[in-house]
Amino acid sequence: MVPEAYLKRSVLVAGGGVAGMHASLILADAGVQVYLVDSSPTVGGLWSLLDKTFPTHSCGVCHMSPRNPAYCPVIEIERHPRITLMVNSSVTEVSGDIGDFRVRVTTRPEFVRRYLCDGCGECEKVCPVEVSVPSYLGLSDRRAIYRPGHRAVPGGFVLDEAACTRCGKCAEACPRGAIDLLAEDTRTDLDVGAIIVCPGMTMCDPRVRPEYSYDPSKNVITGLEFERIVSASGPTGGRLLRPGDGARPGRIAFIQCVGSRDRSRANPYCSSVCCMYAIKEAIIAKTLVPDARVKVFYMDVRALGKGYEEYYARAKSLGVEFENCRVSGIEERDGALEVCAESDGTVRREGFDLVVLSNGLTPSRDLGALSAALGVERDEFGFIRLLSQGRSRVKTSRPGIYVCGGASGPQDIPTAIMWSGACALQALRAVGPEADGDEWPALQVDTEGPATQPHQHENVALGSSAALSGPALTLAPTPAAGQEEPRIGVFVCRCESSMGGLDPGNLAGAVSAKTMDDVVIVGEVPAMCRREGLEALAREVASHNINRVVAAACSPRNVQSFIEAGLSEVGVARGMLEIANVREQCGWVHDDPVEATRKACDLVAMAVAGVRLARPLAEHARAIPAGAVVIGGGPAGMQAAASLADLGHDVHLVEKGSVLGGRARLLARTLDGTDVHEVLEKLEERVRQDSHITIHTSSRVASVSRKDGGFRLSIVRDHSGADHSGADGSPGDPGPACCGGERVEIDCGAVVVATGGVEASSPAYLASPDGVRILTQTELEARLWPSCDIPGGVQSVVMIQCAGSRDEARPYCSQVCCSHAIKNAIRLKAERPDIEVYVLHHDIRVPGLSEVFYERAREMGVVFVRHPESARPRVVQDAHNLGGGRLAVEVRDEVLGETIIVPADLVVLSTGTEGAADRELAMALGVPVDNHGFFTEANAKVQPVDFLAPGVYVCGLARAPGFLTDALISAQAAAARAGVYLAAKEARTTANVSYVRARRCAGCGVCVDVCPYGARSIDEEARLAVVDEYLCRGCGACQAACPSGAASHAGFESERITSALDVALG
Amino acid sequence: MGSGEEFEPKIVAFLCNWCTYTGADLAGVSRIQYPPNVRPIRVMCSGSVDPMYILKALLDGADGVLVGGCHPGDCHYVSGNYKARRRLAVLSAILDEFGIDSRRVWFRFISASEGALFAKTVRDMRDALKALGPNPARALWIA
Repeated sequence: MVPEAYLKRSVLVAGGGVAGMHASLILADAGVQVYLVDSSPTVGGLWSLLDKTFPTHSCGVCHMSPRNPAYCPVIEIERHPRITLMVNSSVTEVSGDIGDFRVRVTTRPEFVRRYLCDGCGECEKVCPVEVSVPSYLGLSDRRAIYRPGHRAVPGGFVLDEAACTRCGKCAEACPRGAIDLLAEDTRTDLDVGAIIVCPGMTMCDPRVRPEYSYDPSKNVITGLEFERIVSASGPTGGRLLRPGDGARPGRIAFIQCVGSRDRSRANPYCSSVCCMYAIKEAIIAKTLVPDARVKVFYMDVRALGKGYEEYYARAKSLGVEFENCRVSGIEERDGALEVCAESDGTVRREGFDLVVLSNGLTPSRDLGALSAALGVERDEFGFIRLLSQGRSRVKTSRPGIYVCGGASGPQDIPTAIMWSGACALQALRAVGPEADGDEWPALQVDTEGPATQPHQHENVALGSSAALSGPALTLAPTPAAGQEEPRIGVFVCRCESSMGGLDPGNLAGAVSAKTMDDVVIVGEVPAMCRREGLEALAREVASHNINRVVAAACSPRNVQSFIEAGLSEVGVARGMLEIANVREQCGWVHDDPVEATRKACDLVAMAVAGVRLARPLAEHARAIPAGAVVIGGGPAGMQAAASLADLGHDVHLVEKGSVLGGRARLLARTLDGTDVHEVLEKLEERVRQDSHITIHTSSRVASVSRKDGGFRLSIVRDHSGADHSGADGSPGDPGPACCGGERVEIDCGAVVVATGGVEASSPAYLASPDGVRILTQTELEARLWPSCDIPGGVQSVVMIQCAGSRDEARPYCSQVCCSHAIKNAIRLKAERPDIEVYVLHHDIRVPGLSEVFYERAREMGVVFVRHPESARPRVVQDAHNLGGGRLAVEVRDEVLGETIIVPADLVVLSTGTEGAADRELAMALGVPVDNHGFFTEANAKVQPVDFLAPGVYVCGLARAPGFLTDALISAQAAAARAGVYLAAKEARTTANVSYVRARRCAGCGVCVDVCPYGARSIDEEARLAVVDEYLCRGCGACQAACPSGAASHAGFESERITSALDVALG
Repeated sequence: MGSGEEFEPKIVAFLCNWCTYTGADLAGVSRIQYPPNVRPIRVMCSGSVDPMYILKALLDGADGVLVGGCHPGDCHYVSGNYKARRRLAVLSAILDEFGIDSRRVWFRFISASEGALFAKTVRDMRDALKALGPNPARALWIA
């Protein structure tokens, strides 16, 4: 269901990488028209060059789409009726203001006209120009006219403008006249309400460190080149071979921080992603060449993300070696590479066969021109400057322009996904939720070259379906449907493009010659992906009184829904169509006409056998109740409530404490100097003043149940009479029973979990004989702001990092403690330069641009002492006569290789964050919790704020440890998802839900166990399985598991499959 | 098929809608040729493939059965590909008991972007089945 609220609104997304695709899909599903502009010939960005992603070791990006399940996002983008893809294009001019921008997009010449190219490849065969593919290291080459990649969207061929000699052979060879070598730039003016900027990042040039021999040596490669080599679709078919000589490398080194954290030569900041991609590649290397020696040379391993530390531990357990040092050079001698590493003040040389440079990220090379066109400011590193370091960090200096996905600083994929969710939210706010009845802004095309057709949705030749927003579906079949005698019509599509080895006329003839039960007519129709073809089909169906149809055509992915919608107009029920895919899976892959026709005939016969047994598919809809409940009144909860209210939804904000603000109240500043109290005060003011928000403090959720497509929450107030201050206290507010009442029932359509985390307790091994001089970082912070309150006698402060994190009990990294310590250390040094500050650590983990604060702390004289992971510091008392009753900390200095004793007037423990998920609440909502007490999102990589259960979202510390910014961004991302879900106002079942054949069901419950969505349960009274068809997503696992044939998968019933099998093998 | 001079194996392929079926489409879009021995059946998820289908196919004369699903971690229904893998592991043990060579059943992870891999899998499978020779199960079954 498309929310009507945002129809007739439009947003431009500049950049088609992960962030841009994600924002586009959210907005388009919300009803917004999206113009997705990318400077390259295809969408996908850097992500499309990756082989696998960590920590899941899958591609997994298909899970990104708001619709679930979905195809790969690049396919979804191509298919989406409200996304107009503009590749080879750049934003060149922007005028107007938020809500009403006019954007000029310049598109480079389209030499191969996409709507004509059907990808037959004749052009490539005649092209005389060979080009080596840069990302394949010369291991692979292509022609000047080429197909950009296996999953390239848009599909079809493109011309390498620089390499092409304009010989014209391709234009002559093209059977469809798609090639125009004289094409020119086109310019398109678009009216949009908001702009999202996400051009991604560019990999840093590894030659900034010439001593690493990237240039002369073919066996020194970058991380991205490594990804291409090991990719199954890469030049070696997934084998790990040295580019220099094709040999299998036995010793592989990874060199970290190439071009990052390197103020003298390249970027001073940390690129945030290289440690993790190197660990992933090291694991892949170890998997592909198990006996190889794999070693990572690093400065700090920055495993900053959910599950990353555990992933790092996994690499170590697989035998990947890690050495903390700085590599001073790499020399190639007789095919072997010598890595010179400095540590303990000595230089060692070690031989390797392959060296992978983990080069960092720099601002996208498009960003300069783009930011100039957009009129937004950039920072000293060249990233887009954010408006404020406070609450809504995705805003740029120009209202209505938002930024995500590495345009404002390095981001990994989950972070980019959350930021793009937040951008989508801000864009929805900017375009406004109220429909005003205006027509779509007319597209202005400046025709210097041929007119572009950004609304081109007719071309289905390459799988871009026309079908998508076809006529409304008949929701329920007529009672008679499926009961009548089968009258089957078989129609062969006279495809617009060639079907390769298959001739549609021959196929129709061959099918007619076959006897098949209940087939009334075999005919040919014009291309069914077009209105004319569909009308011809409808006429045939009506005149022969057909009630079941087999279409021998292209892939059902292209045309199924389009034909189905057309057939419903002439009374053929949904589900009574079967497509025989005789193009993609037959004619296009079998050149031999005899073989192709024989196989196509079989495919048609199998489809006939299936459709004979088809039952009409019913699709049901039910309303989603209005309103949301946000559980948790910390910054994430307040932000989620405010953002949902911004989208026009009523929100109940439930906080168990008596005041709002959560754990963040204990903080004074963030590392970048943002005043946390000010952020919290503004947020609190915001939620208290919003008439959409009702606040329940001192309240907890006593129970949750699913009810009428939504949730019923029972809220219990612990002390009566406290703090109910929704809106202005007007009596018309929802939740009249709040005041003074003990228990309130709230019905809502969506729940956002923002229940936060807790500060971890310090481990016993650090316990001191005296509790006074040992503080946590939070306690120290309270003494540093607003004024510095450290006793004059304090001369030495020792901070111990990972106090209780990254150990056996709590194997994860709490992410924030390093920054917390650096922030407090800088403050201490600034206020009391006489104090010595020591930070004992085994990796300083500050993300991205925060590296500058780490630098500043060192410049100010903070002493960072690195100790081995296995040798944790110990707090001792007066061991070396350091003065009466003074504490000291014993630590093994990894650089010196010695144990040292550091005197300490104050010991500060960086204790980290612990999950505090309420397991009962989780159970009631049907969402999982991990071993550490954090909620487990649907997909750690690309669905960080969703659960599998529809209508439930998560943000802030409830999901994972993180910074205040992370909490606020994730809250906006969750609000965007929840807001769009609620705006749809109704939920629909998927077509292929499962159902129960009651007579066969014994109520054994096997199906309940296999269902991944909790859609099945046992009705204890009837001893029967029942299906909640709104939770069922139609995977069919129950049907495969059911021992008695009771569980049935609509459209894929086992009798249909077996009868198709009979035909195939007959 | 199969009646010519040279034995050509019959392969039935159960392909998951989101990954392998889409990958097979991509082989088409990329015009990657492969032998026409395969008869694809689209299913929503490899986890919905009942081992009975495979058994039936083999007893009814298929020389090989291919089940194609999403890569580990990529299943569009959380864990269907793992379910399929476990089921097929059990089935393989049973097949050998039946006197059917379990090498006739292949389970492969093929993603939507691996059109070339799909084509290669069909080629490899045809070659492997040719080496194994015709499936004797049908004859046994009829007898």
